[in-house]
Parts: sequence; structure tokens; C-alpha cells
Amino acid sequence: MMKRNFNHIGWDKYIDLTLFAVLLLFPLVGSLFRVEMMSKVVVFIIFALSLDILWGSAGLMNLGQAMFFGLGGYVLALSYATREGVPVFMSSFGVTQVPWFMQILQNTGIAIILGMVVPGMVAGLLGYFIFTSKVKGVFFNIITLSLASLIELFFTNQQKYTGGANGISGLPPMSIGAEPLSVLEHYYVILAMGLLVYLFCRWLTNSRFGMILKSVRENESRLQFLGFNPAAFKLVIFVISGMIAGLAGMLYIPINSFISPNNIGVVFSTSVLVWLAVGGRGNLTGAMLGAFMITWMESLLSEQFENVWLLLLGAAMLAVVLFFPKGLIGTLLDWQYNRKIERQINRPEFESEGLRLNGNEFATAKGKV
Amino acid sequence: MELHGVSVSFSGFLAVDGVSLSVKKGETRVIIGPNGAGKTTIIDMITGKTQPTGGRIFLNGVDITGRSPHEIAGRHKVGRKFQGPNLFNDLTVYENIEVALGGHSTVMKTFLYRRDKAVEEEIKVILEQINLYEKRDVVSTALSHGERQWLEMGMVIAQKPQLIVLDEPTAGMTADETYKTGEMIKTMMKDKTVIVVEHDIDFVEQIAETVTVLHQGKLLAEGSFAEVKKNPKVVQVYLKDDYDGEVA
Repeated sequence: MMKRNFNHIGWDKYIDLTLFAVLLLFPLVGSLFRVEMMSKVVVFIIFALSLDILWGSAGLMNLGQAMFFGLGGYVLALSYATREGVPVFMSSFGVTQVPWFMQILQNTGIAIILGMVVPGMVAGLLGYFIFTSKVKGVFFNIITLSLASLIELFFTNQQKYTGGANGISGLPPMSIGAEPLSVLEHYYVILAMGLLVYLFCRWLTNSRFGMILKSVRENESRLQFLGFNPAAFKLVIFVISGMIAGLAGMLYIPINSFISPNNIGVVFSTSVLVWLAVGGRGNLTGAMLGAFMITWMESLLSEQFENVWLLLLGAAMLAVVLFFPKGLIGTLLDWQYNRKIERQINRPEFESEGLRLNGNEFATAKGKV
Repeated sequence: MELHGVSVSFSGFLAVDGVSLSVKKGETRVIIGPNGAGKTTIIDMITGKTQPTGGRIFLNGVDITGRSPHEIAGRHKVGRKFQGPNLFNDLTVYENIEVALGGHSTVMKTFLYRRDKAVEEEIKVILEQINLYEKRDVVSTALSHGERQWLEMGMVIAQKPQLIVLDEPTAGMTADETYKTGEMIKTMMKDKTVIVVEHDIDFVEQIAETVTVLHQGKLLAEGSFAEVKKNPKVVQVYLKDDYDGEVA
């Protein structure tokens, strides 16, 4: 009789389905130029998901999420750049040999693994110190923000090895064997990765682990007295989030063919925060929609209004944050949630005898932001 | 469960002063005392929230002094109910119990956890004991105060603890709810070791096997409810502090 499952399909899940259907069919209607842009959108969706499982689920607002994205990106970019010997940005500084710590990257396979492992390890190290020392709230935000600007500075200053402020350009597309993938093939590879990441995040947030993360956000101190070590949970989700961001960073390289410290620093970290702020947090749908909408708006507005597009975009974002403080999807779910609570409070049937409820009558609180 | 001369001082103020206690397995012990007697501080020390500045705490012969709260709750299986319900407000009644389920609290185990038949049955039994089975899909914020207290008792039971610590489980309850709570403790926690901090004297009489009276951080008296009630020292303390004259 207690039929209930974790993967309760609410209407927000239908938005997800629609979104992926649109992405799947997009190449049928979009020009090649737009398909290429859409690849970038999917990468950003993955990036947004990486922050949502951290900020939305566990309440850890990482203001420097791009450092993981950038690390993943740089690992693959350096791998591509050093594959055929010393790249120009190194040789112009008198580097005649690929430095020992980059030789390992010359093997693309290893580089792809490291593109996730390196950000994961950095997240693990940072997380260990941050969470075991019980840094919380605004201090967590400040630390992550300063780390992002620190790492941006580091990559800018190590010009000899990273190309400095100019970044690394001329990176090749993905290839299978010797044959590089076409724009369309590229797109579907990236979309497949996006779908995998999405399904993984859904599974994660619906699992008991996800429920405990939500409890960390809600009432961390209570959780300790139930035998959970909140620091361990925060550390694990920080590492997972870092690895997914690293994956997004790697996927970004072949479509963008260029990476610079902009992709690792504060500004790009802020972008992903804005996507989540506009879309809504803690339900995955909002993060994906936010990334999707804003990237498209950026592109369309900049084509239409060359001079004032940033102003228009800013005004639109401001309006959303002002009128929908929990983001578009977040506010909708919140509204639904409040109505549900109201219904629950005003239920006279609870007092009467012989009450039969079949569990599904009430939506569970899963959708709450 | 034993306390050996446990003391704690907060920046010079001795909140608990050399208290020794021994609670037998399966016993229900009630700790009473006027405000500021150190009752909650003792509970804080048992559950690891506060570190004692002196003395040792043993549980089944294992020294748990200075362990962290999650270790004491997870490994040493001590369940605690807070004064004033302390729940996960965004979760439903069902999910609150589910989060609390003992034996699934390491990161690895939360990944492997599945809501199978056995788990569902276990949760159902608990929900029925706390009279909240019908309301299992209600978000915990929508419950009444008394129901929230019961939900937290259910969470403590779900932990499968060997020692249960209840801090004023009837705070803010009506007389009827208080009585029901007493019966709940007597049936649900029959075979468990229970330590209860309480103010409500009728309730103490209802559940207590042994009563410990604290006063100004020190042990004042110990014995059955009838004994303690007659103890002149106890009467004096309560009258002096004008404690509603309930004990006298």
C-alpha cells in the first residue's frame, strides 16, 4: 500500500523532457552556426548542473565554480597544445622542451581522465580544509570567491606555461581516429554527455545521499545528532560537483577552440550563478533552463542590439530576480508547494475517523527549492 | 551509562559540578531540577554537544568523553530529542523518519540505500506508534506543535539507539498530549535506556523509574519518585525557588 517512489514525475520533469526533446531535434531546424552555438549551450547546461547539485541541494553557494570548469578546460587545452611538441606560447619564452609536468598530458586519454580528476582533487583539498574547519555561510562564499580570483591570477601570470592572458588558441575539434568530427556529430556527442550528466544528477539528488544533502542545507546541526557527519557529505558533493564542472570545461575546448583565464575566473563564475538565480535552484530544471535562456538571449540580443544588449540583458535579469526571487522554476515550484501546505493545514478530514489516504494524493515535498 | 564526576565550566561559571550518575540498562531515568540546575548541560555532554572540562562519560563501559556528536549518535547509538522540536522542515513526515533511520548514515551507505520492503515496514511501524501514519505525506511544518514533538520522538526511535535522551519532550503540549507522550515513552522505549529531562511533575510521576534531582550544577537527591518527593532538601529547593510548589 505504501507505493511511492523516489522518481516521482512532477511537471518540472516534463519541462526537462521537453528541453531534451528540443535539443535532440534542434539540428533539424537550426543552421550549422546555431547548432554550434547550441553545443555551447549544452556545455553550459552541464556546468549549471554541476553548481546546482552543490548550491541547490546542499546550500553551498560556490562563488568560484568556474575554477573547476577552467581547470578541466586547461588540462585538455594543454594536452592538445603540447601534442605536437612545444607550442608557440611556450617557445617564445625560451621553453625548448615540454615541461615534465605536462608530458603526461601529451597522451590525450590520460588528459581526459585528468580533466576530471584534477578539478576533483582541487575540490577535495579545498573542501577538506573548508569543511573540517567548519567554515560556513558567507565565509564559504568569500573563500571560494577569492580562490577563483587567485587561480585566475595564477593562470594569467604563468604565461610561459598557460599562454597568459591571451590563453591558448587554435585548439582542434574532437576526433575519432584521424577524422575530426563534424559540427553535427560534435553536437550529439556533447548532448549525449549532457543527458548522462543530467540523469546522474537526478539519480544523485533523488537518492538517500541527496536527501541527506537537503537535510544539511535545512538543519545541519540536527543531522549530527542522527549520526551523520555533515563535513563528509559536503566534501563528497564538492568533489562530484568539481568533477562535473571539469567535464564541462573539457567539452568546451573543442567547440570553442580557445581558452583563456576568463573561463576560470570570477566573471565566468558569476555567469553560472546568474543562470541559477534566474532559473531557480535545487530542482535541476531551473539550472538547465537558466543556462539555456541566458546563453540564447546573450547571443540574440548581441546580434540585434550591438550597443545596448548588455544593458537589456541586465535589465531582464534584474526583473527576474526582483519579481521571482527564487528563479523562474523555483518560484513556480514554491507556489505549488505553498498551496500544498495550505491544503494540508486546512484538512478537516484529519480529525475524522476511518481516513484513507493513498499517499499519492499529496505531492511530496521534493519539488521545494 | 555512567557519568564519573563530570564538570563543565563556561568561562569561569561552573554549570555542572562533579556530577556522578549511573543509569542501568533498560532504566527510565528522569532528571529534574530548577532552572539553571545544569540538566540540559548534562544532556549536551552525553551527546557530545558540549565537552566536559572534568570527569568521564561511559556508555556500556566505553569511554565516550569528548567524542563528536555524529560519532556518539552514529557509532555509539545515542539518540537525542531536542527541547522544542528540531526537524527538517522541508521534508515530509515520512522523509523525516527516513533520514533518521539508523544504520544508513555513512556517505557510502547513503549511496547504496534502497527504500525496500523491510525499510518501508520499519517506517510504517514507527509512524503508527507516533500516531502520524495518516499524515505521513504532510510536510513537517504543517504539523501541530505536539505532533512535531512526536515526530521527533519517532526520529529518535528510527535511529535504533541503545540510549535515548529526551530534553523536555512535553514542552508546550496540552495535558492530554502530555499524557499520550508519557504512554508513548512507556511503550516505544520499554526496553531502552532512557534519560528524560522534565519540568512537568505529573509527567515525571507517570514515566519515572528513578528520579535524579539537580540543583546549581550539583546532585541533590536520587531515588524513586515517592522518595524524592518526600526528601526535605528537595522540598526546600523547590519552595525556595518558588517552583510553582508542584513538588511540595
